[in-house]
Amino acid sequence: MKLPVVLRLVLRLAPRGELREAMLGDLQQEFALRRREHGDAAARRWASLQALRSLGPCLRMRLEGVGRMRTIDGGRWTRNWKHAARAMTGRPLYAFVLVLTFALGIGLNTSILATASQLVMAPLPYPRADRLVVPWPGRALPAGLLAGLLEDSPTFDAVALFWDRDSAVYYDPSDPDAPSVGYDVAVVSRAYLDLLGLDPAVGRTFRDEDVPPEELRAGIGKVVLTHHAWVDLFGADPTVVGAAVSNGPFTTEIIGVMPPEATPMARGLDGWSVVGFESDLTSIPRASFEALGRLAPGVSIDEARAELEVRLARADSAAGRETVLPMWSVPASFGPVSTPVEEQTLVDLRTYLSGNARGGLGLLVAAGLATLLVALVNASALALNRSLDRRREARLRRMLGARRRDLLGLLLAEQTLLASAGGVAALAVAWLGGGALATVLPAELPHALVDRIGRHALLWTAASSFVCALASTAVAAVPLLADARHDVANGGAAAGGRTVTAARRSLHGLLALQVTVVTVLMVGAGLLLRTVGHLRSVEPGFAWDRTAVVHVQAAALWRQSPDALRDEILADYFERAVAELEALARVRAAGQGVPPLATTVNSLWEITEGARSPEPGRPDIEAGWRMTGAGDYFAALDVPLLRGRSLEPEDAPEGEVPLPTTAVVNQLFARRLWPGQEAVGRTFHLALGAMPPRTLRVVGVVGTYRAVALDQPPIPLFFTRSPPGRSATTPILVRLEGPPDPFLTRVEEVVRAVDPRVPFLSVAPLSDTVRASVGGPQSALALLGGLAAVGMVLGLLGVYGVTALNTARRTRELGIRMALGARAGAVARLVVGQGLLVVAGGVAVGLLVAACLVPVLREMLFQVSPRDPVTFTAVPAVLLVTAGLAALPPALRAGRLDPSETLRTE
Amino acid sequence: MPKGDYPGEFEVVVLLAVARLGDDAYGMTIRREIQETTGRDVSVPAVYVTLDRLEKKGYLASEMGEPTGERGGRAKRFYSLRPEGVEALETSRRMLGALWKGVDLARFRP
Repeated sequence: MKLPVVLRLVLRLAPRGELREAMLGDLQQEFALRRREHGDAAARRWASLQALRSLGPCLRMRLEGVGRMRTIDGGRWTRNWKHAARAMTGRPLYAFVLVLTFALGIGLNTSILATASQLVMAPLPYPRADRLVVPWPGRALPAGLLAGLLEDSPTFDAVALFWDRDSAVYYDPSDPDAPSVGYDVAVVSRAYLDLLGLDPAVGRTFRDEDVPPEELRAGIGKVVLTHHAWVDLFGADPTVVGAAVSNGPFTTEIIGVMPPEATPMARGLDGWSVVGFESDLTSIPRASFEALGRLAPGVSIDEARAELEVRLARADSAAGRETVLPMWSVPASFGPVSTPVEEQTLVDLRTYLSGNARGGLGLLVAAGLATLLVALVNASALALNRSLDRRREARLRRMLGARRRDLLGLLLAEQTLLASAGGVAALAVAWLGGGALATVLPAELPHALVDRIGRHALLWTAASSFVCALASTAVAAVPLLADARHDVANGGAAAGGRTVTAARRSLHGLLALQVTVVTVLMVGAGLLLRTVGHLRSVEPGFAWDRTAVVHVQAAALWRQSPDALRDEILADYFERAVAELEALARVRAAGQGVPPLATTVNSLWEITEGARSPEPGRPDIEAGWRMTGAGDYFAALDVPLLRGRSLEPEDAPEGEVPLPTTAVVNQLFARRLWPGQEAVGRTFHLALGAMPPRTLRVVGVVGTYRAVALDQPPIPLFFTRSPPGRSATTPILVRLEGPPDPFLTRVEEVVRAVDPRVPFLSVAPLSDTVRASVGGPQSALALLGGLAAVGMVLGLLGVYGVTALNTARRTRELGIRMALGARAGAVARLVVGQGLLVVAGGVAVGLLVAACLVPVLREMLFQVSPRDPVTFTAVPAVLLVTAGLAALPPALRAGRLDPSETLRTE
Repeated sequence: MPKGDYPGEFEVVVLLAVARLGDDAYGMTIRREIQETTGRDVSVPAVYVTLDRLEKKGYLASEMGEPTGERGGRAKRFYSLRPEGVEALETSRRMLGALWKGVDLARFRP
């Protein structure tokens, strides 16, 4: 009968030593005596009373050190640490490999998890941010549709639209010679900034009277700057508020500066400008990029979502279409969400801002944990291997009186020491990894989120190191404890043999687990590699690798120019710029227009064939609309002119409402509207919302190219010449003879020289835009590929280690085999075969797991099936071959064994 | 004899218990002896704190016995009086005896 646990616990307060043992003995004896004399209940009562009374004296003994066991070099704990440190310096290679393993596993995992936790947990810097929602994130939505769906909805307190982006020019009206500053603004509705609930840092936000009158809608409204633009462009000068801003024929003013927290909502733009479309939205047939809403008090996001879906269904049935939602997504350059966050009707702002990053992060977190697991498994295998080597030592210690927990303590000290060293190294890895991660994460993430990774990283590292130390100790303890369980005196060879077999089994299990994880990582990386390959090989239909994109802000030319001449001044500037560029030696062509894959308007326009009278909502086809300016846009992109002619200056529309009468269409457009017939000379009707439809005549047909995204099929397009006054910031595309990079400076010089008053914004190869279009899968590939590579290195180390161990354990057996006539080759095959069997098991399970997990990746894949046979064949092949190579050195050593030598060992 | 070398009240109790028990003086018996003769139910650790102090003062000597099954395999620690302990007890008795002389408690009773 044991003493009641309370009493034993209280006695633990006294220092360990003979005295405590004597006390426990006394208590035990008396407890037994009392049970005999007075019964169990009475004895227990007495024991409880004793426990209570013993509390004080035991604490006193602890404080005064009464009866403490005296040791030569301080406590057991210190001794363990010293011993562990000595043991590690004595085996530098083992220590190094383990520390490296921990560092890689913990470090990569830390950088990923710390980032992820920030994205998921850190609060947004807006008051009551949980009430802010975004309907249909990532969709380009017609403003009219949004208004119909959101206006008067009882579920929203307020709704505002993010409309478009526009460029503006700032100049100091009091100094005619001061240079102009060009900057980009987000065009939003009046309530947009107020929805965030932030107070402006300087000045004020938009009021009703700031909304420009109806007839001035084409121009730019009053401007509120982001904090960083205010600092970067205007040197944080408070007098900027109230300064004149020019764009188009209008001059307006800067009225305020928002605090830094509002910056993520500006999508990398420099400020916000207000336009009026709070009412009468339906008359404006343009796309909006998205809406931002604040939920009414007491309304949950689910309720609001349901309400929105009901309204959408009503709109669908009214329009007699399957869905009134357009299929195009917001271009990547616009928001953090470049592909829809699933097909969500309504998401909260946090989900929206973390956007793609969130979906990818789930994957990343999984991959990061997998790396940690691989590292942990590897470390455990190494530690287990080593403790097999130490069974003699353990037995010796046991004979000298060490208890099982003493052995455990020693092991724990060693593993903790290694894991801590690994943790410190991991911080370095995490720091580097975090830096790499920051480059992959969307730039639009609230900066506050990314900045705070540091503190989290420390916590994660400490926690992971601790877990690693505990887990690897637990695994390594198996053989030592198994030995210890058998009585020291008759600890026969049989028990030892069983221990080795058990340990080897667990080693094999660990190795298989590791290979499983690595297989999953490699399959993911393989699928992404194939995706990126496919995206790279996509023929976009335009010369993306030889074209440069030049951005200027020509609205600066309107300073002090008579209103009547403004269109002419602008047209003249761009004609001259294009002519100067075309005169350059290596330039093939130049033309003004928005480059493919970066278009600002992705809405579709309703087109009806010219012979039919158009019916609203029942068009023949839907097509994208692109405008071109000076020069030859098609030649600049190397898009072939198949029939007819290109657009000329005389195609530019004029008049009060400048609408075009001529168009060039792409071949897809022509084929859809006039299958098998000549398109040039034919007419089509373009629906313009509330305005009467416009009839356009086709003057030419050009080749079809991918205009929206590389991974989306081409759409029907029509092109018109833009009205001269509208294109102050439309970029100029320049096609060169070769890759544009060496000529970018020259191009810049020429453009700057055309008119020094025009602010030069940027020049970049078109391939940058194309690359951004491949960005998502590519970053995921880089990360997953990196993790898979690390995992594979660790896994191969594991294969090597286990094979080496098996060879060493079987030396005697192999010697006998060779003595009986087995050839060196056969012995090597035997050793390699055993290692490969384990790896093959791991690979098989890994492929199954991967097949179940891969659908997570589906959204990122392009022209690759989630069950891609190439990947699912290549990964196991690579793994088995490299595993075979890793197992080879110890196997060859086994083959070179001298039978007579081996039989003498042991 | 300088102050501080007098055994304290509980110390005297423990020393006397060890003296009464003779060869069988170890933690449990000492505790029981105290309880049976004085009615004080003290805890085992309290006894040991005092035993340890008395040993450090040189009044007691101790030696380990054999482990027994009923004690969970733990050994007894036997205590015995050393001459210094005997002297301390005598001093204590003498001092108290001298003090008791001429004290008539009946005077104080109502």
